[in-house]
Amino acid sequence: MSETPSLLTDEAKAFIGKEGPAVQGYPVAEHEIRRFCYAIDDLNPRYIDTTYAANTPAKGIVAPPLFVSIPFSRLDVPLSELRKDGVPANPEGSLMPPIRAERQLAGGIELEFFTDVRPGDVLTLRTKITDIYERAGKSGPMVFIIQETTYTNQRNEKVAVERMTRISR
Amino acid sequence: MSQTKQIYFEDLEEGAELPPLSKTPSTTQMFLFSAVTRNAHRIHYEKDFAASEGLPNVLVHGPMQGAMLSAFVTTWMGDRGFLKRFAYTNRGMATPGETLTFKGRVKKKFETDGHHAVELEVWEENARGEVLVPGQAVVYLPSHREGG
Repeated sequence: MSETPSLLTDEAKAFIGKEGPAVQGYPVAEHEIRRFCYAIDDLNPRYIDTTYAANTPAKGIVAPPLFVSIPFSRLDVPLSELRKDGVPANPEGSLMPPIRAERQLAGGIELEFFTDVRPGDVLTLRTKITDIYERAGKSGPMVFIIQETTYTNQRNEKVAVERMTRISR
Repeated sequence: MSQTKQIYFEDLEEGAELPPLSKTPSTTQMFLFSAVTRNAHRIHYEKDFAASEGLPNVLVHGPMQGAMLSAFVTTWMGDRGFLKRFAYTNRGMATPGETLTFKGRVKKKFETDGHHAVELEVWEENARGEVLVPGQAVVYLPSHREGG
């Protein structure tokens, strides 16, 4: 073992395998799908035009794949629970291993999709820390946190799995 | 409204390029994205706050760029396509008013679980040709062999 000070404590390592509570979202609404599409400038009629969508193989409006994380209230917190930078201190269902790092960087996001999300669906998400490891970076140690979020619908069908890497250094 | 014509598995060769698409996110679009994602992070709407964090301007949200890159793929794949996998990384900063171009190419064609799949390498680049968001996608496409 080298003498480089480690950011990764046993306390943080104990988060590997830890799973957050199941968080239920609110019903998916056609108008919210449309708002999302307009905000990403996606005018695909499958998502926003009821008449058009009725004649597609999906036989109705579906949500664009990356809408999956939207119909949840966990970011809706009172103003007093927002940090100075506007970010919620600890959103419901999230798992934050205690790592004393100065900077948080976004790593990559990987998504796998299993079935479409449609208006009326109620999704549930569950987040798990699948791995935490440390690597030596140019400017010191970096900790990689791999967090997996599984989305299911009201029929308990798997809708999507999102794997996110967070980097602390 | 009309959608682009359907692409079939047989229409594509490995190495084929997707028609590029350019977009120029504005602060107005960023406002709408913050609202719909309930993202109150001040670096996306308050230039002075962004400056206090050492940033040149407010920043276009990373997830917005990811979602726009995914829309580039889902528009291209047509109504009978299914986005099976999508991965992206926010590698560089984008600021409002910058033109971002979405590009992609077919990396591999394969069959899996009875699906006709293509693996795409996709990315978003800025006007200087710097890749800000590298990504990958796997799309299931209809095949003429399915009688469709």
